[in-house]
Amino acid sequence: MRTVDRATGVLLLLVSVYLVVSGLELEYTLEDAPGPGFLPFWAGVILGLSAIFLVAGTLVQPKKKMKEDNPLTGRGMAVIISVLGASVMAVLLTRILGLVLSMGLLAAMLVRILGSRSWLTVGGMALAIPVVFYLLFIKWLGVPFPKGFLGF
Amino acid sequence: MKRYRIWAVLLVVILMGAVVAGCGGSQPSAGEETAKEEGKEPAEGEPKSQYPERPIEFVVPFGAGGGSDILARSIAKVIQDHNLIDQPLMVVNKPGGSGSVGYSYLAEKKGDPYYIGTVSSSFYTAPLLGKSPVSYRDFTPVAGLAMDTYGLFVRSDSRFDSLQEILDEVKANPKSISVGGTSGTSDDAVLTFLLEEKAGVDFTYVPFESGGEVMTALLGGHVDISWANPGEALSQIEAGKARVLAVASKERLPSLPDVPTLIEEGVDVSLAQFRGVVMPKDVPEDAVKYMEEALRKMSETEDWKTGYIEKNMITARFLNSEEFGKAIVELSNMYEQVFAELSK
Amino acid sequence: MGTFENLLYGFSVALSVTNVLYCLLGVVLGTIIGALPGLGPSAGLAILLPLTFGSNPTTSIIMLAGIYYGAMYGGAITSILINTPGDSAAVMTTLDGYPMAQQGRAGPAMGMNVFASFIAGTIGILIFMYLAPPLAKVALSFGPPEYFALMVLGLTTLAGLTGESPLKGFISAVVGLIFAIVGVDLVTGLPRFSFGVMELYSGIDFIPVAMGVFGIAEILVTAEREVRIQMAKADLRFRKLLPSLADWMACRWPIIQGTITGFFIGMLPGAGATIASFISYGIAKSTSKEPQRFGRGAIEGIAAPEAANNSAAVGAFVPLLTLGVPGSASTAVLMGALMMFGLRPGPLLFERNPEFVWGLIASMYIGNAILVLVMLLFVPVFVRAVQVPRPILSSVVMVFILAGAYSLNNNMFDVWLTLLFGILGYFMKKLKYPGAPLILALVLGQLLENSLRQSLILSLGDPRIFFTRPISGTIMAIAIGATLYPVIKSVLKVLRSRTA
Repeated sequence: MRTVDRATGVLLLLVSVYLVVSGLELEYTLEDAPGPGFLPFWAGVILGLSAIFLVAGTLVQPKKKMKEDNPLTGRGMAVIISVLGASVMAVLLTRILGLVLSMGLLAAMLVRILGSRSWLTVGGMALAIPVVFYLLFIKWLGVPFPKGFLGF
Repeated sequence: MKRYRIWAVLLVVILMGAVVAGCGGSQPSAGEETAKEEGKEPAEGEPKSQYPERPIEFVVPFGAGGGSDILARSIAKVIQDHNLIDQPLMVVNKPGGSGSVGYSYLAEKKGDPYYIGTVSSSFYTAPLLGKSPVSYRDFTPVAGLAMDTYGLFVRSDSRFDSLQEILDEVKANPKSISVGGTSGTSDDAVLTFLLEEKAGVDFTYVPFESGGEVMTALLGGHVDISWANPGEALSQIEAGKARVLAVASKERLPSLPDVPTLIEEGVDVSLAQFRGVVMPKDVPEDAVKYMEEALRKMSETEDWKTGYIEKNMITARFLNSEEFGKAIVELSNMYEQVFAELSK
Repeated sequence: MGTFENLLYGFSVALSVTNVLYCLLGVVLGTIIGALPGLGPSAGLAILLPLTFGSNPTTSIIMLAGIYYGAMYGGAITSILINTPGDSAAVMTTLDGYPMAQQGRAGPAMGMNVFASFIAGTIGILIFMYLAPPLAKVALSFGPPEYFALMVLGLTTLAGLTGESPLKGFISAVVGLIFAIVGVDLVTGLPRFSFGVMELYSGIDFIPVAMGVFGIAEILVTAEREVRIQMAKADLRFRKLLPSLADWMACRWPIIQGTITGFFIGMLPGAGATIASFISYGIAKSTSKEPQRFGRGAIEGIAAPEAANNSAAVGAFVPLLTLGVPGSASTAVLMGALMMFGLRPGPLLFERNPEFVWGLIASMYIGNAILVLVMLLFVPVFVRAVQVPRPILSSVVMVFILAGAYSLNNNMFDVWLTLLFGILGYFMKKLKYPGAPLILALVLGQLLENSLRQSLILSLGDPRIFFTRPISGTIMAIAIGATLYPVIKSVLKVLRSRTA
């Protein structure tokens, strides 16, 4: 946690510098009242101070108290990346397949990634989700989803 | 693992339903195929396809409940009630970026007559302010329907009885009078600016999120005066909660015959937003004609005249595609001038 | 005619077969729309509006109003079961609802949601019936300085949401405030921090943020763990699905508090049900004898915000029907619908269209009663949803979140935004940054900045405006008191222990 906290602290500090600078570029006051740059400036200042506190905290605390376990494990990252990768791919595919079909595809991929071993479940998801989506969102509620090459 | 099996059975049942639903749902897709061909020359021997063959998407570049939304939904309702178009008009809100998200979406549908959209003042102003990548040049004008102008309102117990009194007081004491409006680049800001310019005065302009918030601020006495579409404030006028001192139209409004125009009050300012309908660029000529005709018939129905025009206190003015195109260019040039002066 | 006679008349209108059926349809559709993540009452109302074409105005508005307050019941379902708020007003319900579900107490959580919603909704209608016109005057007395003071008060509830590390909770809030800055600046009308992306001009909507930071992050975190999620098995006997006597005792005051807070904040144009639920949760926690239980599955943490958002939904009808001013996105759609049906909401509506106004009021009693029955009937079904194998549940939730994100503005951009905030939410969870302060600051931030600047424009830059006006001065004093109270309390403790 220590290393990670330090890293986020530094990252937040960079963000705060950006905010302060761009806050000053926008007008700080406008006709006597706070301008568009007022809040970004102060948000930046406060964020910067908090980041410094965060980093300082990791330096001050004795080593024993701060466990050096990294909450971000390699295995965790692998799962996250595959879940997000599948989602991104499905969202990109909506242009071709339409939202209804690509969400069915996504559900099938996810259920596999998340550990279902039965192909029946996977296939079932691929079919059930589009059907439910079609009936619920398009037929019944009439939500204007992006259409695919099949016309829905 | 038993649970998985239950799920599987359930899914199979749903699948059965899918087959049935799929059979019923295959027709619109066939329609779409032919519709895509529409833009091109019909093939030899093939009967010329009749526009419209599938539902038309009516894009509102603003959220539900606003002026553009009410316009679109009123059009859709009157057209549906009177059966003026064989296919339904599906109103779809695409809000965001002061209308630019919706306008860009519509402009992308180049050549497709199954998309139409509403026009309001940000159609002209957003591209001028660099807030929208598309401008009126990316659209085909279909028809102009109505002019919506602005009134200058005060609370009923306000000490002001005329525009002149307001101008006198604020001249003697600059910034002493606050004007409620909706953000720095809206029509009411433009009007306030023009009024300040022409009358040589200085108001305190307070921006709010929506017209509704401006009205509450006015009624609550938090701002002294405000601009609003007469229709928005009608119920307040009728209930005696607010008074209108002047209107920004060129001539007096038929619904408010006693209220003078700004011009009559000695300030040469007028502004009205033209509400109408556009299609993407390069759509087939006959589709534009069809839609123009449908809208013309709609604008002549009693339901439209009483249900929309009168209720919203706007001025009906039907312009055909060509006339509306000219009006769009004129209005756009007008805003361009105003913003050029504003940024000085 | 007295109020009571009017109400009887209203019931004679509302109890026609058609009206009851439309009311039923409205509340059921509303519950579904509320429960679907992303699809909230305002988008739902706009989508379902065409269903009412062809019926008379009273019938239509009975259905549309049913959708609106039905959504308030429905929003909590997904908050409790899968940690994904169904709509914006249900964000606070995730904080204690989801922990309760994890402890196998999804049933009582859902039951308390239903009863708190019902009680608050019904009392809300009573308040509306008797006090609407005078309350409308109170709503009007809120100008920019008063809103600013109210937002400051809202921010004091932050202190109760910080979780393990106050510093990290605070950072989370500041980040939320930064996201609130993005978009077109109200005063100049020009974009800030939007990097030329049009979709960002109107600011970051907090629904994609809430769905990402709560919903997707939860999916990612559970995906990572090999073990099947540690959801305790729920006791499915019907008696166990309802809140116990102890639950009721704990929730008495939070429900009443939520009802009053909710109604009052809901009737202020520009504040609304979401902020009402935030503030009510904050009050419930800070007045609780055991505030440390909040966030770990305290049933009061469901009762207070759910009571608040339901009575806020009723309160929102005060400015709409008495002033003709919509107070929120949802009531703006309702107002548009009314105008389309030829009714003009405003001060004269009560005189000119009594059948409409009283029919609507009576239908709201009926609708709330229907909602209780329908929801209680389905509680066992909903609770079983938690028992669905995790891979299936997670995948289904994910696709519903993404589809809901699309339906928010009918735009793919919000889908990407939701995924992005899902990633942020995952890291926040991993690094122990609480999500609630971020959402709270995002919601309050825009109003806070706007009202601050509006006030100072009005006062020509003089900050005394916040203290010299009676209402804003009072709220400011309460806010300052609420901030200092814990400090004073600990100082007193020290002093007392010294003297003892």
